[in-house]
Order: sequence, then C-alpha cells, then structure tokens
Amino acid sequence: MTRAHPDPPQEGAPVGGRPRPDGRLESLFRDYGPRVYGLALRCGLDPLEAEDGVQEVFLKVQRRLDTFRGEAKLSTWLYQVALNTLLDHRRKLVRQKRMQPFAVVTDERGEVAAVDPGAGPDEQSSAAERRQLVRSALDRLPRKFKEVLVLRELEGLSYRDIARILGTAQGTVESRIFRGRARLGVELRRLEEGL
Amino acid sequence: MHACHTWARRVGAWFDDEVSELESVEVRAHLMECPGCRAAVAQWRSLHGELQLLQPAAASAEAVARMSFRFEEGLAGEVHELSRGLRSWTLAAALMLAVGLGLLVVGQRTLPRDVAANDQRDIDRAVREILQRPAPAAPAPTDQRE
Repeated sequence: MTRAHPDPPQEGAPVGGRPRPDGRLESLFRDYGPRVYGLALRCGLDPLEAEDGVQEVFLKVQRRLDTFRGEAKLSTWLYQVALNTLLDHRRKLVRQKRMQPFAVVTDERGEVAAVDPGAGPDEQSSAAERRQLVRSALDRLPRKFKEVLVLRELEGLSYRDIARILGTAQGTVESRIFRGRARLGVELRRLEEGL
Repeated sequence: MHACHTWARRVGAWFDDEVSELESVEVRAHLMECPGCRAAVAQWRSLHGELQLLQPAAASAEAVARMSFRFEEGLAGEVHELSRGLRSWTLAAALMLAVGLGLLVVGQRTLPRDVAANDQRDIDRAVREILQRPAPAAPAPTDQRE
C-alpha cells in the first residue's frame, strides 16, 4: 500500500493556522508515539499502515482521554487502546487484502525490516520467506493467543503487565501464552507442509 | 514429544522468567528428568527465535517527524471540527435565547390587556357594571297545591 504523506513542516511552523491540540496529548505522543509505532509494526502492519494506525490510536486517545479514570497507569491504558485499535486495523486490512493474508514488515523504503546487512541476497530472501511464514502463522491464531504472544515475545512485557493491559488474571495470561505457543507451532508446521 | 501435563504451565512460566527462585530450582530439577518438558522448552526457544524475525527496525527520524506532523494536523483538525461544531451550537443557542427574550418582552407588553383584572380601575369598572345590572325578574309564583 503506497500513500503519499505530506512532508513535515519546518520546525515552529504553525499547523494550518488551526488551534493546537491538548498539551497533555502532545506530551503523550512524544513519549509513546514511537512505541505505539513499534507495536503497530509488531502487530503486522507495514510502515505506512503503521503510521495510519498510530494516528488512529491517538485520535481515539484524544476522544477518550477525559474518560481515563486513573485506575490503571496511563501507559497501560494507552497500551489497551493501542493494542485493540491496531489489531482491529490489522484484521480489517487482512480482510481487505484477501490476496495477501499477511504483510511483510518493510521500512519506508519498502525494504524488509530488521534484515541482517551482512547477509547475502539468498539469505535475505530466505529470511524474508521465513518471516512471511511466521507472520502468516501468527495471523492464523485466535486473537486471544495472538495478543499475548505479541505482548510477550515481541514487546517483552511481563505476565503482570500483560494481565493489566488485557484486564485479565495473570494465570489466564500464563495459560494463553502456553496454549498460544503450542498453536503457533502447529500452524507453522501446517504452513511448512503447505496446508 | 509434549511437556508433561502437571508441569507444563510451570515450565512455561520458568521459560519466561516468571517464577520465584525456589520454583526455578524445582523446574530445573524436573527438566533434568523429563525429556518431554525439555523438548517443549527447545521448541519454545525455537519459536521465540522465529518470532524475533518480526521485530521491526527502529522507526527512522523521518518517520517519527512525519507522524508528529500528521498527529498535530489530525488532532488540530479534530479540535477545529469540535470548535466549529461548538460555534454552531452556540449560535443556535443564542438565537433561541434571543427569540425567547423577544417573546417574553412582547408577552409582558400584552399582559395588562389580557389580564384586565390585574388593573384596579378595571376591577372597579367590572364591579360597577355588575351592580348596575338590573335585578333578575322574580320567578312567577306557582300553585303549591297542584
């Protein structure tokens, strides 16, 4: 998906002469914007989709910020909003792009992300294929397994933090991670066997 | 080969470094004698390695700048829309208030005419009119014996 985005303005330039957004939100974006972007990529969005996803997340945050009651940490609440929004976004895109059930994670130049620069073309191609396979296997998982595996394996969060984000018991998280890994292994084998 | 049922979840938590020191010792001792759980751990390790293929490169400075710009523009747009909506509502409310005030003023001007009894002179006139009315004719006597 290619989309032309406007160039960023010069520093200090007014944004279209419109009123500026809430200062709280600006600092929230500054602190968490890149992390939400990383989460979007880990949820399987490509870089341009991830940028759209980040926009969507922070627009939702703006609309709901006044409803944040301070019962959870702001970062936990933000993660909840972001994870739900991004996984929904990903699901919609997968539905729209029936011909491509998963996206290769690419950077803004369209290159595969996290490629070992020392690897030769064959190795890079093989890594890209493997990456697609893993992404596809992850996409096949039910959401409850996918979200815990993304948060644990890719975001590196503790069971306790995951439980807080998902609003569930720590034991449930433990169980879902265990079962999710088993399902992921099964899906990977199925894909390897061409099923 | 699968992890044994009774230990599976504890071994999983150990793999994720989510157990206490004491539990860790117990799990390690179990792993020494359980090939099923050892195989499960090896599989999880392999899966973890494969999942790391999905780790993205860090966002470039250009991407961050672009997002910041879109964020500010998008949110400012939202604020703009909100304030525009607010302005419309304010205008509508002001109009309604003006109409209401106008009706009240007109109503106050017409009130003394409508409610004539509020004026003492009108009350007096009404009383005089009642007093000057001829007395109603007495009813014709009727024969009680009939």
